[in-house]
Amino acid sequence: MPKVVAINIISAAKIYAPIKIEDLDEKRIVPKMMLRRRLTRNAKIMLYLADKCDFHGGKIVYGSAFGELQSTVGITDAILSDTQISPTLFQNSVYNSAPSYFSLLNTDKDEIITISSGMRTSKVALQTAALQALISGERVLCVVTECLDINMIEDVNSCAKYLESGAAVVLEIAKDESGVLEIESLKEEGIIESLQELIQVISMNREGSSKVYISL
Amino acid sequence: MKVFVTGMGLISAIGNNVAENLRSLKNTKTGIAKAEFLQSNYTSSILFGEVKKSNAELIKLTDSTSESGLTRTTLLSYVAVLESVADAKLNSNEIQSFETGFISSSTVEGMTHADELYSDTNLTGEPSEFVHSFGSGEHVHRVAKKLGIKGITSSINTACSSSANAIMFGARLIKSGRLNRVIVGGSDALAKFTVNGFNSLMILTDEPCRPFDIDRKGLNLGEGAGYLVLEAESVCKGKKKYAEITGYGNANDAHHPSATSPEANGPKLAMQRALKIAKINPSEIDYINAHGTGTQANDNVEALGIEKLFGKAVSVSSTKAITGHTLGAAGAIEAIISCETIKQGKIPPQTNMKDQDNKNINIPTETISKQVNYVISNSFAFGGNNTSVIFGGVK
Repeated sequence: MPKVVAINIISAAKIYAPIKIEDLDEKRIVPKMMLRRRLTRNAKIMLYLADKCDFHGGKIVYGSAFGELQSTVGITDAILSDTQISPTLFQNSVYNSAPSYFSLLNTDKDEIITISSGMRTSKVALQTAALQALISGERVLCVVTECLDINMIEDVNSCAKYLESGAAVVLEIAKDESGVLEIESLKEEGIIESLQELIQVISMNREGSSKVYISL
Repeated sequence: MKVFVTGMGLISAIGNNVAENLRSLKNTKTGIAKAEFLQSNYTSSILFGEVKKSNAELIKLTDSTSESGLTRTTLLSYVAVLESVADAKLNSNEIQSFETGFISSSTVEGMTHADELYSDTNLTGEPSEFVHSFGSGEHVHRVAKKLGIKGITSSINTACSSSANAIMFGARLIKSGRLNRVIVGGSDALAKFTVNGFNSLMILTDEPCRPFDIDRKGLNLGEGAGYLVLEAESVCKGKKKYAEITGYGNANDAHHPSATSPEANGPKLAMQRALKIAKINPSEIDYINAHGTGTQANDNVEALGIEKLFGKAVSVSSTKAITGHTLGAAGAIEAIISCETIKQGKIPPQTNMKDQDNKNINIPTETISKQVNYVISNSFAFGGNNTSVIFGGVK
């Protein structure tokens, strides 16, 4: 049978909106305008969540099922219309753009791993973060974001009420296993499946359970 | 807990299995040529490292005719995964045990069909068979289903360092006692998306790429898949072993979204972290399989990082000169070449380099036969994500 490890949630944050999250406090979090102007939506949400979790450096596991979809669409549009692709758009299309901007902003040279495992993304991101914490003995930021607000999304979207969403926890390995709970299988309505596991951990944390088991 | 490589599978522009790849390497037979299967405006003007099989041939080769929506990325992963588990002589009980995981990577996956899918969204009628294959983790689900893998599965997507990170993650799962066995690697197919994207950066060349040459003009995009079976020492006694994974390190440059720092801080830190885990000194490394894309920026920085850490004491070459840059698969493909370098005691030369740029590092242009104890394989990526993996001989 699968093994488990007990993790302790140090801090947590989540945010979502039907179309676009309005206030991500970008000017305070990213004072340099040149850097701020390059940020993708995923990066802005990730930086906001890291700030809410009071995390400013260290190991990061970032996840996104769909990655930088807006950059992908921009590039695909350019290919279909046979027009020039913006180099910045292509640089921003890689799935690790968001945590890379975090490392730039915070001059963080520590390890960053990016996960994209479809609808299992937050489950796998939590497993990866737990392994990082287990091996290093350090606190790890686990953050998953999704930005689905693209042209014609209403024609293909049947799975998420909120087109922009993100969730983050800072975790460490629990020092003892007293009061550790299994992650509940409840789901928060309208949130994309790829975020659900992390959202559940945050909900349990807000109800007073700071320790959960991660299958690993 | 020691982690050994007990099986390997590989398909690339220079061969459809490990043996064919090794033969091409030995004879420095290049896979860089005009693309036959890629549909792109650039197929007549740019050279690629394309796998010499059509999708129909790959479907037949992997006995996958009953599956729909199979991307070229998934098909390439099937070929290499199946070869790796056969090579490691894993039986179905071992593959389907909770103690066996699958950690893979891809940067492209279903983006091979991005334009087709995007055009589809506002049309009526049946959607494309590839609509569920877009996500970069799709090949992981498909491989896990095909083989019946029940242990931990994951898809890592850190651009060009993806499969090096998959190897690192897999080794950690074993070292930490979570799993006994992990199949690790990556797969990427050529796609309009990446061809047009890299072209916008003006770093694709119309000639075979020349890593570390003073007149290098850029990179050749390639495609392929590489997988390694990693096993804990406790479960592979008496089995054939190619190498031991002794060290790994990941570091972020924190310098620029797509360029490494001119001082080579990130690459140097990744190699230093790997050496620390391996508990060896730089002088013990015999060969570095460089990231070596053939672009001005990468090769300058990587050479400087190597110069600072190793000087001229270690042989360096980039096999991307004949395979092309296979993006998410590159780390795994080059890991396999690194393991074979140790096993065969033959250091691959730098192909296509006529006039060495940084002369403070040692880049051989002929094969070197010698005992190889330790090899570093470097993989660097957009966003400044740098990973180095160290392979050691089996003791």
